[in-house]
Amino acid sequence: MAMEIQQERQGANLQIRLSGDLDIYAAAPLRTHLLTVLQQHHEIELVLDEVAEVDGAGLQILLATKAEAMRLGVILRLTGHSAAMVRALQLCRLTAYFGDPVILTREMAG
Amino acid sequence: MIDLDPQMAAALQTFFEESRELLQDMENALLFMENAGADSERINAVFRAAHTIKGSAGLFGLEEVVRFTHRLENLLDQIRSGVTDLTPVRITLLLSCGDHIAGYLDRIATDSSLDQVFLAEDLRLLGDLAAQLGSSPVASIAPAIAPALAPTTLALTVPPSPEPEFSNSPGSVQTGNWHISLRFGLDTFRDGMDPLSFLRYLEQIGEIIGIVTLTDSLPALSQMDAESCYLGFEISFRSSADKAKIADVFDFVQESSTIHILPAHSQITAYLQLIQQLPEADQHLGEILVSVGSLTEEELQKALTLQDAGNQGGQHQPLGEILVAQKMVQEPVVQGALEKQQQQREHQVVERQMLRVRAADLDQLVNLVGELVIASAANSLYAAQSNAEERVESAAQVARLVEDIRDGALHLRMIDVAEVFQRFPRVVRDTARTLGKDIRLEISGEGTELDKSMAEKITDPLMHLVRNAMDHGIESAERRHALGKPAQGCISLHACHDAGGIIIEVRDDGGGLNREKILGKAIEKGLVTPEQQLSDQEIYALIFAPGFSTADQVSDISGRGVGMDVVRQNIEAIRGSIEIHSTPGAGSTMRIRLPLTLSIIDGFLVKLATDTFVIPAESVEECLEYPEQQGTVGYMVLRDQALPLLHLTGVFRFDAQPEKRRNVIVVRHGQDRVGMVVGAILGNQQTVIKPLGKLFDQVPGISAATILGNGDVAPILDIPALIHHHASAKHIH
Repeated sequence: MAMEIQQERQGANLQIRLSGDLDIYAAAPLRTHLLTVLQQHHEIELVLDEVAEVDGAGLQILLATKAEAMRLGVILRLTGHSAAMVRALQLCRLTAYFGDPVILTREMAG
Repeated sequence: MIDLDPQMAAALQTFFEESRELLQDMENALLFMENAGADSERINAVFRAAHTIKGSAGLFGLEEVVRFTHRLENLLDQIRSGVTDLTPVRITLLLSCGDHIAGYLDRIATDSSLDQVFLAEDLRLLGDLAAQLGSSPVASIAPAIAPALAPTTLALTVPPSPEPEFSNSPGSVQTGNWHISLRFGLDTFRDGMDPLSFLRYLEQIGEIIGIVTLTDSLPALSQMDAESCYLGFEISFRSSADKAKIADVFDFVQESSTIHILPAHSQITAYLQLIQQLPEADQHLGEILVSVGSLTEEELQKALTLQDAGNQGGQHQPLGEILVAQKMVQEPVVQGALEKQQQQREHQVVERQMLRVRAADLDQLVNLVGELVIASAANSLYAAQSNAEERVESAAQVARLVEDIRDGALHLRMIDVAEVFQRFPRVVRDTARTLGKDIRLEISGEGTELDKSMAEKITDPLMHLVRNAMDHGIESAERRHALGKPAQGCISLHACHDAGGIIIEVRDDGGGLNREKILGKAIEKGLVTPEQQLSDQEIYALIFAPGFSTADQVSDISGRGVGMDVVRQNIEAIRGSIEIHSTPGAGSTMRIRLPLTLSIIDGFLVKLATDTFVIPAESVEECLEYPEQQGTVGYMVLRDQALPLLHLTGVFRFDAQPEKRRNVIVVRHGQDRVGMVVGAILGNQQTVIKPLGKLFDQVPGISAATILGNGDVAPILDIPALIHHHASAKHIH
C-alpha cells in the first residue's frame, strides 16, 4: 500500500499522519516532505497509527528526521505507533532513541 | 504428588513429554555409539539430554530425579571431557539409567509410590555410577585456567565463568553469546534487500540479546539519499546455530556489506580486531559492544590497553601475529558455546516449527468433519432431488471441498511409522543379549504414515512379533554357521502403503516356520484333524490359536504360547489382519495389514426389510443368491462345504415378511466363516463411523453406526461378535 501523507495545522503545531507502507518507495518523497516541514514548524507530531509496514529505508528516514529535528531544535513527537511500527522499533531497540511514549495494545504485547 | 494449579500441571505434562523425547534421543545416541564407536557430538547429545532433564526436574521440585540425574551427569561429564572412556559396560549402565529416569517419570506421572524393587534398582545404579566414577580420578569440573601465558605474550585472564561446567579458554570473554557486527552496503535497498528482514530472520534461529542500531554513518536529512542504506547494527546474539548457519543468513548481502561474526567466548583480541576493523571510533565502538552485552567494561579496558601496548612497542604488531603468538584456537571455544546454548534452544526451535495439539481436540475436529461429510452427502442428495442445476453444482463443489477437508483432518492424526519403530533398536539389543544371539535390526519404510491411535495399538503386537522372531526364528550362532549363514542374524521392520492400507512387516532370516512341527502340535491339541487338507498358509495361521506354542523350551522371551493369539486379536481390534510367509531355512515374514484410518471404513450396504445395515467391506468374502429352494434354514452348501447361515432378520427380531429375493453375504473373521442372510445388496460406500451411546452398549451384533446421505441411521454390524455368538460357525475351514 503506497504511503499517503496527510497534514493538519493545529496552531503552531503540525500534525502529520503517515498511512500505508513506510518503505523504500515512500522514503524519497517522505524525506523531501519532512525536510521542508522541519524548516517551517517548531513542533511536529508524526501520527503513525496507520503505518502498515516498516522497512529499513523507512526507519532510516525517521532516524535522520529525529537527528535533523534535534539539530534544528524542532520538537518532533512520534505518536499512535501502529503494531508494525512498534515491532520495527523493538526489533532495532530504537524506542528509547526516539524517546516517545509507545502505547502497547494487548495484541502487540501478545 | 504436590497439588498443582492447572497451568503448572500443563507445564508438568510438557516436561514429561519432552523428557521422554530426550530420553529417546539419549537412547538412540547410545545405541548408535555402541555400534559405531563414540563420537563427541553424540556424547554431547546424551549429556545435554541428562542436563536438560535435571534442570527442568529442578524447576518442578522433583528432587529425586534431580539427585539421580546429577550422578548420571557426573559420569557423562567425565566421558565428555575424555577422562573416562565410553565402554560397552558404561553404555549398558547409561541405558539402564535412562530407563530408570523414565521409571521415575512414569511413577510421578501416575502418582504411584516408589516401590522396593524400584528403590533397589536406584541403589544399584547409583552404586554402579559411583564405581564408574571412582575407577578414574575425579576430574575437577572447575575450568582449568591456565596459570600464566608465556611471558613474551600479554597475559590476559578473565575470571572463571560462573558456570563451572563450561570451561572458557584463557583470554576469552565471559559472554556465551555470538557477536554480530553488521554494516550494510549503500546499495542494500536498491538490491531489494531490507536490513530489518535479516534481523527478523536472526530472531528465528536464536535470540537477539542486545542490539545497537548505528546511526554514525547516517548523513543529515538534507544530505542523505533516501534510497541508500546507511544502517549498521551491533548485535549480541544467542543461538544454537553454528557459524555457517548464522553466516548463511547474510548470504545475499555478504559481498556488498561488512559482516563480522564472532563466536561465543571469543578471545578478547578477536573483539579488538573487530574494533580496529570497523569504521567507527574505537572507544565509541567499544562502548557499543559493552552496551549490547558482548563485552564487559573490564574486558573492554583490557582490549584497549592491549592495543595501546602493541602500539607503544614501536612496531605495530599485526593482530594475526598476536593471535598466533598466543596460540589461540577458536575451535573448542565454538564447541563450548554450542553445547551451552543448544540445550536451551533446541526445544524452542523445534516448537516454533511444530505445534503441540491436544489429541482430544484433534479427535473432536475429526468427529466434526465426519458430521460434515454426512451433512454434505445429505446436501447433495436434496440438491439432486430439487433438479436445480446451480444447486447441484454448488453442492458438488461443497462435497469436493469437504472431502479435501476430511483428508486433511485425517492427515493431522497421522504420524510417521518411524515413531513406532524408534523403540525397537533397544528392544532388539536387549533381547539379543538375553538370548545370547548376535542380531542386528534393519528398519525401512520410514515416512510411511499411519493413524496415531493405530500406532499406539500396533506397538505391543509388533514388539511381540519381533521378540518371537528373535527367539524362535533366528537360529543360534553355531547352527547358523553350520548352515553357512552369516553369524549375525537380522530382523527387519518394514512399512509401506498398499492399496488404501498400510503394511508393516517383521522379517527374520532365521529357519522359517516348521510346518510339520506346527501341524503335529495342532493335531495333538485337537485344533485340526490329521485328515484335514491344509495349505501352508492355513498351517502357519494355526500359531495364532490360543495356547499354541511349538517351543520345546519356555524362555523368558517367548514360548509360553500366550501371545500370538493376543497379537492377532490386537491387530484385528484395529481392523487389521496378519498373514505369515515362510521359507524353510531362509526365514519368515509376518505381514500386518492395517487400514489407513479407524474413523472411516469401506462399508458394504445391505437392506433388511426397510432398514439399511453396514457390513465392514474387509470382512466380506463373497455374495451369493440365497437358495430359496434348499429347504434347510441353518446352513447351505457352498462348494461342497457346509456354510452356517445367520438370518439377520432373526438376530434383530424383524417381524417383516421374508423378502422375495434374499442374498447371502459370506463374511469371515479369522478362520471362522458364516453366511449372513440379508435382503437387497446396495453396494460399497465410504462410511464414517459414529460411536453409539451407552444406551446401545447392550445391543449385540452392532459395533457402531453411520449416518447415510438421506439422514437415515445405519447400524454397522459387529462381525466378530455375530460370528462368535453363532456357535456352529466355530472352526469351519
